[in-house]
Amino acid sequence: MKIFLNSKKLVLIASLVFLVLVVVVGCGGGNSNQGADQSKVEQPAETPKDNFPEKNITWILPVGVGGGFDVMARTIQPYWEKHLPNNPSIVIRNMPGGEWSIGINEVFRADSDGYTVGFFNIPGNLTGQVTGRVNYDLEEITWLGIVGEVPYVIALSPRSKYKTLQDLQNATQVKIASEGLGSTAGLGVMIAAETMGINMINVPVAGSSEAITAAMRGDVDLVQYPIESTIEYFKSGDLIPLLVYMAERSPLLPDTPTIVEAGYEELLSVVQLTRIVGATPGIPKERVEILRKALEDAVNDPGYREAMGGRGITYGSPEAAARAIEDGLRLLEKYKASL
Amino acid sequence: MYESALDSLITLFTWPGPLYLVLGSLIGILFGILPGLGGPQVVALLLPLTIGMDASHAIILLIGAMAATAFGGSIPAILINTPGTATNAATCLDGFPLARQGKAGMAIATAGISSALGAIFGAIVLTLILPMGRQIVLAMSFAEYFMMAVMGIAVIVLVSRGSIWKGIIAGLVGFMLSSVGYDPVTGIVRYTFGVNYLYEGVKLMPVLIGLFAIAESIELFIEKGKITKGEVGGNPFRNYFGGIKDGFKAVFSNLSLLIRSSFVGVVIGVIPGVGGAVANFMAYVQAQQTCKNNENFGKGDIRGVIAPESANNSKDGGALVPTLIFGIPGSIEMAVLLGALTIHGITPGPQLMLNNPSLILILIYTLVIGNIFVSTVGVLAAPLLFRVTTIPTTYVAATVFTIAIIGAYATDGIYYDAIVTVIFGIVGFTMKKLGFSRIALVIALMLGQLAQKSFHQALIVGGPSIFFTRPISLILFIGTVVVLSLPFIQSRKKGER
Repeated sequence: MKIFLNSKKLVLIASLVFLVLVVVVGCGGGNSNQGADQSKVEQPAETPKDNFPEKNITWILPVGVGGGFDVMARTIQPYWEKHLPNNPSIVIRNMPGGEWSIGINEVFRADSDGYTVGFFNIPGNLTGQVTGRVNYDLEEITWLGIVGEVPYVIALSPRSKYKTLQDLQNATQVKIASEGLGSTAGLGVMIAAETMGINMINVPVAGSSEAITAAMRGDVDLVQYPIESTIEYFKSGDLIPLLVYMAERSPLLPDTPTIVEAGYEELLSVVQLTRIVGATPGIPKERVEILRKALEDAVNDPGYREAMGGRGITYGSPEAAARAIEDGLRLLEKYKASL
Repeated sequence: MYESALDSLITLFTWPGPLYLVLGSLIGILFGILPGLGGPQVVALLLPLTIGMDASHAIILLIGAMAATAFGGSIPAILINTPGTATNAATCLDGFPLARQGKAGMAIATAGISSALGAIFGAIVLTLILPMGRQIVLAMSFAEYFMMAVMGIAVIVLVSRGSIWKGIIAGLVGFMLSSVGYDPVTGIVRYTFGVNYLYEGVKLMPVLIGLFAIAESIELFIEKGKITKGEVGGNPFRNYFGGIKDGFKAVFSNLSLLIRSSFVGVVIGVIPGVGGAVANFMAYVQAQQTCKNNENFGKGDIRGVIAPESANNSKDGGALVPTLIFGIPGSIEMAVLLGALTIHGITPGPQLMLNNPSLILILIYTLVIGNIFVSTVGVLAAPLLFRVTTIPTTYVAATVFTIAIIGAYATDGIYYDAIVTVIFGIVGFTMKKLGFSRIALVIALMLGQLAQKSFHQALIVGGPSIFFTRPISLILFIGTVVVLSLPFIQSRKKGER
């Protein structure tokens, strides 16, 4: 089949492709400081009195729209804006992919001027660096504060033949569904199973909803997820709560014993999802303080608390955040072989 | 739930309800038309705007936009052989040949009418099924997903024009591409060559845009003249209404096809995990196999437009079933919608129907009325849009090329997407020239991951026998075998006569 391409048209196509690529690369590979809202305000020269923030701040969410992190970020956003001096806009930018690493890399790559912040999922995000899959080190991030601690619960399928912890421990094999070791939930359930002496086999799924439906159908016996994700299913009887990972009984599930009562208190610090806000390494101290204080005020703002309906709000200091990272890394090192 | 039927309707029509409906629909059509932007993107982009709004208004805006993209995407599919969204890919197959014959106006009008009727069908089914949705969704497990994926891939054989072997090769390439990335089953990362971008696999959207939009524009550059090869003379008024009239005629003389295709769309939409993009291919193939006188499919048979366009709208109704009942997204747009609902304090899940029946009804109404509005706009605009086919191809090609690359980049803001698009543009062009089916590649890419994943999941849950002991899985398996042997049986029959 002859292709009717004379050289003139070839040159036209080639130069068009080249031109478009140049434009795209120029715009795409550039500064991640400009969020979706391109407001080009001039950077002031280095004066002793810093008027930070003077332009938009970009908040990078390394997840897709609509999940727990995304919803929380969008709820905090107006309050954080409110408590920052000069009332800047915080532009949220979803950058899913690479299991959080694409977005996290963006945060590292951004300028250390305080105009880019990110959101982190601990300990899930730490797996990448422990296994060497990513080459950034989350200990270098400028931590701004813990904004959420999400307690987990063990949920049994109503169709499972196992009803108590004893049953699970005595079983030859318990089927579990999770997203695998790269996720906080998957990591948690694996460590919990090992600690409690449960022989598990994992059915890999793409997300918590898939896992929960699998449990509802009876395809698996057990799933382990945040209380906030599963509470509806407990109410409808589609899942049965077994143990909550909290120091004291949850007001939402007063009849469900805690992991402490079951005798495995050490799992408390392990099986938890901590949502931490952090920013690019190397930002000047004063700017970090401004961001940090505004974040703390935002989380404590009564308007925010009301908007969240009391779900999973805590504020933890940057020091607590750094400790969470350290603990997480130490923990993962222990289980490194299975990762 | 039905007690609030009237109240919800009133809410929808109370200002500013209609404003949001119109606004959402128009934005949705625009997003649908631009290749690379579609349902998921429009909802994601409108989401921040809705944060301050009342929940019912937010729903009206978002659903209105989302529903409109399915029809909007059919316009470039017909005019320039480039699907505006993944759910319109099958519309190209017969829509573009029709445009070539000077019948673009009729084709677009048909697409609009089919879309509206498909949406109505989907909404009716949704309303009826919702109370029973639980059982339906719970009946589908990993074995069924696997069988559905296999059936979908088997369909490739049917869709391949000409050489079946070339179709299979294209399909296998797509299948191989689907294995790139982190494999959740084994935890092994495959074929990424250390490139982080590929960690979650080859993205469908850039590939689709490249294979179709870019490849087509390259071809248009080479061609001379205009897209329409047929005669365009005659009275402009008669042409205008003639196109619309023909469209209505076409749809209403094929009502049973429309209902069948809508049914396919709803069923596929209901099953979470099988993406909505599959719906339009399945409907197309279903039409091709079940219609009499089907030699003209692929050459401009209007039924090849009716089927996919009704399915890609009815699927929205279907996809809402698992989304609303279980909070499990039936498609990508639904996943984004779920986030939107959560932000507005609506928790999808078993309690939703009890807590917020009026909102669900508003949602359903918007789906229907929004679609009708959008289709009306489209149908009226059709004869005007037809003019695009009379513009010299070089201008069209240059515009499509640029918009396509920007569209690819715009989805996630990652410029690697644009690079993938260009690469697949060249691949697509080559495939066209050599007679390999691009659709086969796309189907396999879409379903490959699902097939591999559910295969392993089913094995872990129940062992190899599970595929045959579960009734639905068994039925699907037999169905696949039947579907695969159909062409051979048909040609044997013809041979015997």
